[in-house]
Amino acid sequence: MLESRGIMARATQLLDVRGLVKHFPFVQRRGFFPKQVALRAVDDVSFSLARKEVMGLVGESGCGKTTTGKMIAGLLSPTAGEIFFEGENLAGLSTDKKRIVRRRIQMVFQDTVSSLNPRMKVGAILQEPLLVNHIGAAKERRERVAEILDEVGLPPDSSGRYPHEFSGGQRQRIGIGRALILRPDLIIADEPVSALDVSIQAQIINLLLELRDTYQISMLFIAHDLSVVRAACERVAIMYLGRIVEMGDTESIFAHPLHPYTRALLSAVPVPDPAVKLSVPPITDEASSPVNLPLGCRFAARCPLVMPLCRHAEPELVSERSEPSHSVACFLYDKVEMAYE
Amino acid sequence: MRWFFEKLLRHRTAFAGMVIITVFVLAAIAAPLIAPHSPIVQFKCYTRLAPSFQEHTPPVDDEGAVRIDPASGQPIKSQRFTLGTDFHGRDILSRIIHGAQVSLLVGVVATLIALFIGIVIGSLAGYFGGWVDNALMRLTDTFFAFPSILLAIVILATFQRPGIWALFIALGFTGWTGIARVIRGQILSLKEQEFIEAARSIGAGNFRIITRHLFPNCLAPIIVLGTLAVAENVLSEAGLSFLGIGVQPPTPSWGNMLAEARGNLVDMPWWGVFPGLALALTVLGFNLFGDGLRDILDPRLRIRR
Repeated sequence: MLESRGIMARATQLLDVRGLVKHFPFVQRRGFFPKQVALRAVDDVSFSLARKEVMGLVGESGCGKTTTGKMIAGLLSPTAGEIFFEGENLAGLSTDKKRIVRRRIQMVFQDTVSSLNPRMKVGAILQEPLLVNHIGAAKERRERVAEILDEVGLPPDSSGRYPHEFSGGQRQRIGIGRALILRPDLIIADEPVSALDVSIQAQIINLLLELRDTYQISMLFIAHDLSVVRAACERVAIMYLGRIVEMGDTESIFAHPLHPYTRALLSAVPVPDPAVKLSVPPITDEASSPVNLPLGCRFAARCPLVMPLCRHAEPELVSERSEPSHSVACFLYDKVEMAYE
Repeated sequence: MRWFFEKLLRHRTAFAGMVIITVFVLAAIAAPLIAPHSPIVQFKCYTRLAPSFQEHTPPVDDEGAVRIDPASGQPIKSQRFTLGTDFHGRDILSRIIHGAQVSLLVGVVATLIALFIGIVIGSLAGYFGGWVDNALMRLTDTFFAFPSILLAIVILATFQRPGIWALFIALGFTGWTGIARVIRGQILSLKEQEFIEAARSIGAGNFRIITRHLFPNCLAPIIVLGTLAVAENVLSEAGLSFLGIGVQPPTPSWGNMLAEARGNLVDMPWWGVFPGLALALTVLGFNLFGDGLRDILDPRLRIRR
């Protein structure tokens, strides 16, 4: 059922990611013989993104959410799996065509200090995407920069100033302007507000959502802050150790989270009322190492509801029967797998 | 730019270095105008004159007789030669002023060549990493393993007639190893910054990323290293010319003046002392200026020299 849905989706979705895998090989020097091992940063991730849709990718640090974003933006090449953009497989494109498609996928970065070249003036930073892609003459490029400055809410005289003369929120506006100037269809926002003050976070999120409405941009919103995700995203995918464990509409996930990990995450969001008791036992310990993954479910070691089955088999991400858009990878909800076992 | 000059004015040693450098650079540029005599004309009757400020009695010859100017028939005066003359009757002050041309030119051009090689090799190694890094850094280690003055001598020996060009090449091709290492380190840390990833995501190629994003961020250490390298090259040039394989006489260079004066340090100390002073001052100037620049531009950069 899922498969047929996937094929149907390919034609209509803007982005379709199928079985994405990224392994970082390295040599482990434990013991007498060094051995070549792989850090499995992203391990079989599939999802799709509709036009104008904002999807959140959530998980603790090291779960592979940034790696996923970078593979889609073309900054890393996948070990396996396919990325379809408007139904075209990015891996199969010629170099020239890839350049043109890549132009339409842009990134916004987390660190507003290190993501802007300190030796370039804002005008040069914003112009560079046009220059690199040979778009427009010098005069047109300057006009585009002026337009973009206005769109992201920066003063018109910003062009001649250096990034360090701006505040964190303004620098993030520069970063958004740089992504926006190529008129992309998809923006991958890698923790775009987590380095900012809470009061500024809302402004930046609103700016991103406004731009989404104006230019029909889809957005993959990578974050670890659930309240930010709730404010910004229509759909959410929760990642744990390189895999999506739960995915669905934001409403549905926040209203009734299914996966024990999601529940633990949600209960960890601070509630401004000391009388409220934690409804779910908090999870402890560190996540397992992505180098030596345990057999069975990745979350089994920390799961409060672990069953014997969880330590032997890995649950698939399947949609919930009552709500097909909400899917979860947990044996608690996967009666078919239970029977099979 | 303004804050830079303000800091420079407040940094006393850097400012002193800058003054010394400026004096020598101006002297070198304006040499034909300010030098009182030609650096190579031999005033046959005025040989071995002591500096004018030291001479109170008329100069005498080896037998103790007062030396007579054959043209005028009067006892000769050394007033015309502020820092005295050498064995051949050439004016030492003029030779020092003209020698500054050679020394600074060799110092600067050799440094530019070394910087070019060092920056290219260092940034390629740092940027591409892997086997490129390994190959280039082993090459750098190989060059670094030779005493650089010996390597320069070997390179000079391959030239038919060693001239100023040979010096540029010999010193430029031996002085780049330290620069390559520092640049590689800078690039290694810079390339992990997000703006490099941002550049890649807008479609910028390797060449653009290296030249537009990485290189401008390495400018501070490049300027500092370059200034200090000039001092080193001025010194090496003097050393090679002293050994007779650098600038060839009669073209004046501080190194070959020292070589000529070597046997007469006791009876004609001015012949060797003044070129030596000029050399020491120049090197001191560049070192003070370079160290000051390092404090101003990049306090974190501490290289082992």
